[in-house]
Amino acid sequence: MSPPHQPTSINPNSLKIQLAYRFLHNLNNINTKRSNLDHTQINRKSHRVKVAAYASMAFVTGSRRAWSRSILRKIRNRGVLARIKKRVDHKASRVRVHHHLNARSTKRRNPSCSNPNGDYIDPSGNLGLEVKLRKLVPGAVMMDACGLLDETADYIKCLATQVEVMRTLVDLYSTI
Amino acid sequence: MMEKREEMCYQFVEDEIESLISPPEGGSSFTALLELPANQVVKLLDSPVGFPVPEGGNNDVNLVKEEPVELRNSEDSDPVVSKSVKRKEREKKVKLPVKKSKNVVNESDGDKEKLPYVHVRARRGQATDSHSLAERARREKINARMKLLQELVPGCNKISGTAMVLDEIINHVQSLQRQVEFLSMRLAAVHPSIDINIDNMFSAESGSLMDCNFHGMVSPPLSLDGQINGHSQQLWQPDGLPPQPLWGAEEVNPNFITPENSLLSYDSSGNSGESQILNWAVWMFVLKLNI
Repeated sequence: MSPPHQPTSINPNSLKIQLAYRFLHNLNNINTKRSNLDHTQINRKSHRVKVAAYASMAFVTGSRRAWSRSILRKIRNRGVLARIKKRVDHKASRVRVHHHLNARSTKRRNPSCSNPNGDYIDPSGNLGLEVKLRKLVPGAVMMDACGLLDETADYIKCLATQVEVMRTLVDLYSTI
Repeated sequence: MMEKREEMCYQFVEDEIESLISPPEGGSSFTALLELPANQVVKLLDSPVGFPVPEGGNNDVNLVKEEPVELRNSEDSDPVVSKSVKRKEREKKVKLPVKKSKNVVNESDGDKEKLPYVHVRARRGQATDSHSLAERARREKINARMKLLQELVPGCNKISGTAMVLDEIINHVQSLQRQVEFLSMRLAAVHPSIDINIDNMFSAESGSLMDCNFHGMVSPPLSLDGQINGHSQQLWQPDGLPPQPLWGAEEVNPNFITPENSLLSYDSSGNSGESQILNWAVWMFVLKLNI
């Protein structure tokens, strides 16, 4: 990922600007890909936007971090899997993927369901907290504690920047 | 005979220490931080290792000199045992110079009279064999990282204790992810799905694009999808702008950013906040996407 070398008053290498460019690029790509039904189903579209957001985050970070690598891997696998499934059964694949995505999103929104008490101790000896964190940060399940904290820090930084970029975009779009 | 007894005691103590140290060592969990009871037990056993046996008046000197420790242990231990254990320490000290250089106290001065005790550069009351040293180094690494995380997560500085900080971090990550989802829903509602005709999207930048042309060139975002493409072409053509391929490959990014940066440099109104500049950059995007 070569940063642009333009001398300006701002830092063109800043994470925010890179994210902004990349995110808009991904947005456009995703919008131009399968434009059927996009204007009618907000759910599907919002999911695609979310995927675009994570993809742009991962792309900007590149291969330096395990979480970005795992996100990129997931996206590539999804692309491949989706293509394979399409060949097998068109309708069933969509339903399955949609259901899977719903399950994942609800799991995230109601963490209390899966982890009633954050402090209980798993039989493996870990506290529930740490396991929770591992599930939240992509690609950090098999990592040691030290690396996990590193990844979390980087992930939080990138997520915060991405949220800022998206918020700016939404504000811009809504004020046009 | 004395030697033999010492060897046996040495073996016994070594086994016991090993068996006590191994549980907290289990794998890569940083909950070893919280396994205080086990550590205390280890320290209990190891503290006679850390300082010389109270056999004379030397201990007063040592006690005065020492650093604050987590667990003070002044129990009397078997002189033979302690002697043999210290011999083991001496061996270990040679093997692990790096880690021990971090630790502070040496109890060398008063000891040489009574016991053949060369100073062990570990904190008083703490074990000095390789396992616990490695464990300690690991724990310190983890603590340093937790401090960094505390700075990242807002409102985490006042909280003390690993579990609470972790909880805060987890909440923060979850809230950020929820925000991404929510914002993506809003974006999906607002952002039109347009079929972008890339060749017409690009313009050579100039300052004229900044203010006056914004309102004229920006079409309402929620117009019908099918019409936007034609609309965009009509909008762009009167400018007579040379088309430039943009989105083809990654290496065009430098080119893409050139006009924007030159545009941004025109912005001499003093709004140098980065968010403001980000807004300008996104405005340029919006123009090019012709939303």
